[in-house]
Amino acid sequence: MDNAKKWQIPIFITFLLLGILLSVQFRTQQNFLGDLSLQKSDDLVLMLKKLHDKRGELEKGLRELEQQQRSLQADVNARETLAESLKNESEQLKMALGLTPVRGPGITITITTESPMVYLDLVDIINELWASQAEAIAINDQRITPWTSIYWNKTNLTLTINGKEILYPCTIKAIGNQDKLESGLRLLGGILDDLAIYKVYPVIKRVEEIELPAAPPPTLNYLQKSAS
Amino acid sequence: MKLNKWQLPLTLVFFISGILLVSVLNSLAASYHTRWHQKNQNLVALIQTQEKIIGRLEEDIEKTRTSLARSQEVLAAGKEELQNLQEKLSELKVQAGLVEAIGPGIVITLDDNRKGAEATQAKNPGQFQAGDFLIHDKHILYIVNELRVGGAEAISVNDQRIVTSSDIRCVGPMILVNTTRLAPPYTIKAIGNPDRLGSVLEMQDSEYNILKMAGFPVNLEKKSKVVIPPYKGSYQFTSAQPKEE
Repeated sequence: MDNAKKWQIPIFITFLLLGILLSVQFRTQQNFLGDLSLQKSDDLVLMLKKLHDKRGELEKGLRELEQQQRSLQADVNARETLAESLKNESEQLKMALGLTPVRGPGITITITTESPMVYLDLVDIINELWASQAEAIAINDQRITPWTSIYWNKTNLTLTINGKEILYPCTIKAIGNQDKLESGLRLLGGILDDLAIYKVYPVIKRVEEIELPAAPPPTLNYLQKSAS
Repeated sequence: MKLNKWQLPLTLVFFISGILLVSVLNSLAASYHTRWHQKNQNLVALIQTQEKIIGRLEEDIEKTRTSLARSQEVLAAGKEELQNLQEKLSELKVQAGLVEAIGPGIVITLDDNRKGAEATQAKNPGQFQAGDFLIHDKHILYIVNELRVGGAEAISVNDQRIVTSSDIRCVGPMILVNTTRLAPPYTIKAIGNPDRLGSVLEMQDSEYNILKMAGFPVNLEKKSKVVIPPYKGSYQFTSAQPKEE
């Protein structure tokens, strides 16, 4: 028992130290593995090379994507330009067809109840206004289009435009150059002289801002674009 | 001998301890070996720089992909819009007479009454008025108006397309349509319901009928296919502008 005690203590101390040493060694090893700078240089060089390659690939990929983006953006821009020109042309044609409300300077021609005006007088006046470069015309807020029908309704005995009776006083409004429009009507031997024979005396007025309504869109059942 | 009992294990233990201690010191010494360490530090710095650049590149790629996808969506949506616009414009062009039109309708021909003129001149030279035997601008204007009443969807006079602003008038003996000189015989074509057009034109007091009764060589033909050329003029607006609603 005495003998045993004599060596037990040093042995104990020794093993304790041994344990501490082992754990320190293990910790060092752990740090060694976690810290890049403690890796073998060859491994680091290899890693750097791989990163370099990856970077190259990414740069190439990015360049391609950016190139795609640029050409796509050019397409988007071209499309917007095209859309704009299509809209402008449509707007112009709608104006020409009387499908858009318009405003501008022009003249008004008013014919009162007493005048024995016939529908052909209206056809003549409108023809004269177009000849004087009118840009838009309406009769009592019925916009003139290529499909406007003006006639004498024999059943109701009414002056008719697009199926509606023309009420007096009848006002024809035309947008365009006021001088041209007025001189066209007042031409010697022109429409006003013709009307005066039948005692129709329209009142012509210049108006700085005339507003004309739009006609409803036409329903065309027979007209087709030719295939060519 | 008593001593030997614990001396051997102790020696062994110390021996192992010594080896371990050396190995620990070795690895510590190795890790701080300056030259080797310095070289690795440089490599590590390079690696870290590369990693940062790669991180940024990956971010850029993601951003570009996102904006690319957005542009593609815009473009795809725009394609539909563009198609709608094109269809709308194409429809307007048909209505505005900017393309050749085709459809059922009627064809009318009018000519000056030369026979009547010769006969009257021979029989009754005193009462002869050359103008009575000519087709005038008004005849054509009123026939065009009658065609519109009959629901004509497209009209032409001697291949001049009649549009909204077409004027029909004369200068001296010349008839102008769209400011283009026309010469007899006059061919007026209209697309629409042939029967309806015909019935308006053949009414008792129609302009066409009046000419026919007066002996002018006129003709009216209903057709299943009439071809009308496009309007060659331009639509220009200097006074009128669209009213904002």
